[in-house]
Amino acid sequence: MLYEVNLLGPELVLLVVGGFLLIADLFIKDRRLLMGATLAALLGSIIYSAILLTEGHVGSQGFGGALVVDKFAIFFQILLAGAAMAAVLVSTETLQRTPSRRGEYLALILFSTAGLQLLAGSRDLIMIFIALELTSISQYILVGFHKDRWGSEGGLKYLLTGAVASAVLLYGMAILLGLTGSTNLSEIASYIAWQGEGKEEALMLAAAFLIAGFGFKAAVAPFQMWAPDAYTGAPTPIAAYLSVASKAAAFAILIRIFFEALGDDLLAEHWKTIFAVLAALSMFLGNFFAIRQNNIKRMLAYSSVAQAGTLMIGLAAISADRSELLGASGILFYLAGYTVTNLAAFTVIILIANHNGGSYDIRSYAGLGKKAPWLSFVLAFALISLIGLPPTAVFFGKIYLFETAVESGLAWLAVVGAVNTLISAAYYLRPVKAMFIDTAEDEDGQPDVARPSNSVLATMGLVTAGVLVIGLHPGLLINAAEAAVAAIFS
Amino acid sequence: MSETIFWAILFLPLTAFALAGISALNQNLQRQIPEWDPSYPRSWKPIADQFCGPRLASTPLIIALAVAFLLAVINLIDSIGLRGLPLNIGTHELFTAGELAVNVGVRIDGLTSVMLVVVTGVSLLVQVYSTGYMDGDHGYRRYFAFMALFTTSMLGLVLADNLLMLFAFWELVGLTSYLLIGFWFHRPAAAAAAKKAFLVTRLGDLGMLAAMILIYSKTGTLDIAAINALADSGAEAGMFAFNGLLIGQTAMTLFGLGLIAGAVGKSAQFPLHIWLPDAMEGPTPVSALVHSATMVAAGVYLLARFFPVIHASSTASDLIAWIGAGTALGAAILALVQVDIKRVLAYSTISQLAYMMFAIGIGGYAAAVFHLMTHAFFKAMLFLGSGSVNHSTNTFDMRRMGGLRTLMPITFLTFAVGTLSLAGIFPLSGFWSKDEILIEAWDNNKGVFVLGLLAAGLTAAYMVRAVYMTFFGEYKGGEPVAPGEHGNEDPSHPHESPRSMTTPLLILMVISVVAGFLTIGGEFQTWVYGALPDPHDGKFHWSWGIFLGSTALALAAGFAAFTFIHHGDRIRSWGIGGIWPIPEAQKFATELFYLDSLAENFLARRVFYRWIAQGSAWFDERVVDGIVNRAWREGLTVSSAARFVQNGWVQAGTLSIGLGGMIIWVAVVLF
Repeated sequence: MLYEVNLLGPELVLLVVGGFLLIADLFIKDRRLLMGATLAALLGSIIYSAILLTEGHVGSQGFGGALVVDKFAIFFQILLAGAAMAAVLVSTETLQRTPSRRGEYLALILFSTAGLQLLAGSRDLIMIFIALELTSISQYILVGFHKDRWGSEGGLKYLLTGAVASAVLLYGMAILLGLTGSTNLSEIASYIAWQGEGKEEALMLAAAFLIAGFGFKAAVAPFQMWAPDAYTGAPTPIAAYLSVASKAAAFAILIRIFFEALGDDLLAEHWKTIFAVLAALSMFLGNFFAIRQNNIKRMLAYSSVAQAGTLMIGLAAISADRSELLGASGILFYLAGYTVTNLAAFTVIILIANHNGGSYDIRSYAGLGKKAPWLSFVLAFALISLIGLPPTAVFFGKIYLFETAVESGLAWLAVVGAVNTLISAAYYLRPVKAMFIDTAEDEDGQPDVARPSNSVLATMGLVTAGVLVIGLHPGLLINAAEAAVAAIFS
Repeated sequence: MSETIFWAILFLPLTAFALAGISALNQNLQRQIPEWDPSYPRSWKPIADQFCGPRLASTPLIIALAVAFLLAVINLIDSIGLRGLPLNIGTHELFTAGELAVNVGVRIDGLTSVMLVVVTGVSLLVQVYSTGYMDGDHGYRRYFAFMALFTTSMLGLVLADNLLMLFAFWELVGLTSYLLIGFWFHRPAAAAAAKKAFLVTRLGDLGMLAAMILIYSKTGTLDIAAINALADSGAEAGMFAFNGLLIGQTAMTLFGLGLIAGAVGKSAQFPLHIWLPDAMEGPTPVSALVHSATMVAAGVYLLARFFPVIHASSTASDLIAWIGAGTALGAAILALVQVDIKRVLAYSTISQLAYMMFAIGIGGYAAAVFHLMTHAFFKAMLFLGSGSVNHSTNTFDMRRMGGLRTLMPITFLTFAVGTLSLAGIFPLSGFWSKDEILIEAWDNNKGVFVLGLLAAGLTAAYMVRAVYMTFFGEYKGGEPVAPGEHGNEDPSHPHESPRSMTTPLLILMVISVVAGFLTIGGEFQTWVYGALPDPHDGKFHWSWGIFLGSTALALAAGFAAFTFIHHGDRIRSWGIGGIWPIPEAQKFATELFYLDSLAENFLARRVFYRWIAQGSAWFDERVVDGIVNRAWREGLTVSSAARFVQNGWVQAGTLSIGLGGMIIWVAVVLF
């Protein structure tokens, strides 16, 4: 039992510190202390994951097979904790605005991260559902954390649609349980392999519901409706966190369920088409809707829908050809690259908003290139990475995903992806144009303000360096991603 | 030798580049502090000014190059101990994408060892010289940043063990050359020269890129050792086959021709030689380092590196032999009529590089590499000497100089030694290397030998003329400082340059005197061949006839030039600064054989601009932009539809989830 608790270590660290923070919130008001404790917990979680990796626990299962520690789970645990750290570090301004609820905010981030981490390591439907609810409920509160008009609207919409998504997901799980008599992923897999013949349609119904449920988390069209409102209403660090962490965990669990439990050749042919169509739909919908947005947070919300579509290409490719492992490792690589890139973009957006009165209007970025050349440069770099131009992280991610699509016979999907890359340039370059080409209406309109905290600057430097390092030397991350997916496709 | 030291040689100047960049950036920030930029840490400013001054740009670079030079010398001694055999150092995978593996690695043999010493050594001396020459220039820090980047790229170029890495650094030296030629970009001539150099060398690079794509598509490898081994295996029935690689004779010839195109562009050989004289608009130490000693020699290095490939095809080797011989003579003629001292040296560089080119073409690999090395030292010294003259007269026009012999004794001494070495006078280094090339030519190709010998005579003539016009006769007063520039405030009283400039000159002089003795006994030959096969099986021999003949010719030509110019007034007035007896020929030469005007007025303006560029512009505006603009408008329309679909109703959101799932299922079951 103790051994099994040990396997749960990375999540437990977060949950324990989160609980402590809720109590400490009552009498500790020092922002630095609370943030420090949160960061320490996240760092501890990363270290714990690293220890599990190096101390020979890889491949261990616990709690009756409900939890597994493999390289795949550890990859995501570290990625998610890292994203959460960045979100916490850039939250200084949010925390200053809400002095009375600091502990609550930080604890909720920790709970949500623990849920997402658990999701990556779950091999049992019940465990998956619990992990998903743990993270979802924390996120509902976080989105509505500013109790203003936009926050409340976004949070409520997220809650309502999320509840429906959970219900649909639960339907899918129930059908799966009813058919196979088990909630364990390997048992489901062996049932399908031996007795799945003739039950394809029912299995497919369950799978469709699972896709809907997890697609909601990943913000894949047509399950993306919540994203723009939630992103706009949420505190910006939370929007950044949602855009990367939720998506990462959703793709982790999609890969795990669809290739550990439902990966039988009997069904894989159908997944290919579903994933491919969803990929194309998400890319077109996300990109076209993003073009007209003037609010940069809303624009990035639609952009994240399009990015989810790009990630779906990998799922489609590996469904079409199971030997094309690059499809899965490409998703992991792309997720990591996308995470650092999007965090870099959001960090700059937070900094700019802090200084021009909380405006997220792209038109208000005019002339910023002169006033804040460093900031503008970082934002431009992040946006260029999001388009997928070298020498950045997302560039290599796109190359990998498109290449696997071609290799596994889905060349049309790669073409769709390339066309969408072009379309996406239309809106990603709008802020760049505003910053460097347009001139500000009033030259001296911006008040001179105190410089931001070191934590925000450090985050910006780190994630920007991450974008560049992954773009220049992708080999390290590719090796990690390949080792991670080998745990599932072996 | 462990691999680490080679990476150290590469990364030392790169670190200096980073520091110089910080220094230049700090200078920029001092001028224009952003009004509110939260990411600019204001509290650091005093510290930044303390530590990021101009010294941060130059001192780390000089230290880095001194260390790199020491490492290069240690490696050279090791390599001599190994008799030039290639060190077996593994290559590293940068990343793989499917089949394509992109590697980085170093290749160390005799050729690399020589190049490392030449590049780090000359660069070190040039940087020391530059601290004096560029002192007070506004762009001091930017200058050293570019120089550091250039040296890094050049070292990467000679260290590369595969063609892709070599090509990357090849383009980087091209870029830094562009930046350095246009260093004083506010002068229109400098900006135009930079553009010209960039575009003209690009033509050659196109051939090199094509060669790279060809060899990769045929053999699937870009590894230099593998390609050379393949070319060396010899053709059987029109096919080269070695170690599982296979390529036809035609493809091998085309590959060699592509490499030659790249080399001709980079090393300024006919017909792409037109950029190098204009490149003299850059600061003079740049001309010494980039445009005489190292970068322009990269073309020769490339062909030496792929020596077996060039000699796997008689078409390729004959082509480069004749291009080289023709350029050697033509450029020497042009050098004879220039009035700008740097342009004399520029045409001289083209001519000397051409010697190396034809030496490679006729199989004289060791002679070419040897001449590359000696030429790097004495030509860098000559350029630095011309810079020293300019430093006190503010001009490069030899008609405004004269009589500097007594006023600038150290400069005169070093320039004279450089001249003698370039003219091939015994026992200076240029004598040994040039005669070796001529002997190789005599043994293998008499036609090339004749052209080379004529060029050798002309070399002595134009250098004597340059030395006479600069250092003898009456001083003609120099030129006043141009407004907005910095220079000697009182050019009517020229003075010797500061010690930071004369010391490198003296060091280079000593090297130029002694470097030639390396070849005695033929040890250098066997060592630099290393694992390469000698096409003449070591048949190289010493020839007294050629030794005496070429020396006599050089002395006679030099004396003739001296007589013509010294008694110029009495014999005939041949136009400004000319020593050419026939006015039409004089005009033909001063117009640079009309090659430049052909290239610029006819090819560039008429053919390229009128037809190709305007055609492309039409296609771009109407077709490409037309499609994009149309797509953009349609995209806006679709995007507006978002307002109907994404209307913010919670019902729509929830409906889409349930309905979406059902639609997926129905679609899958139906189809």
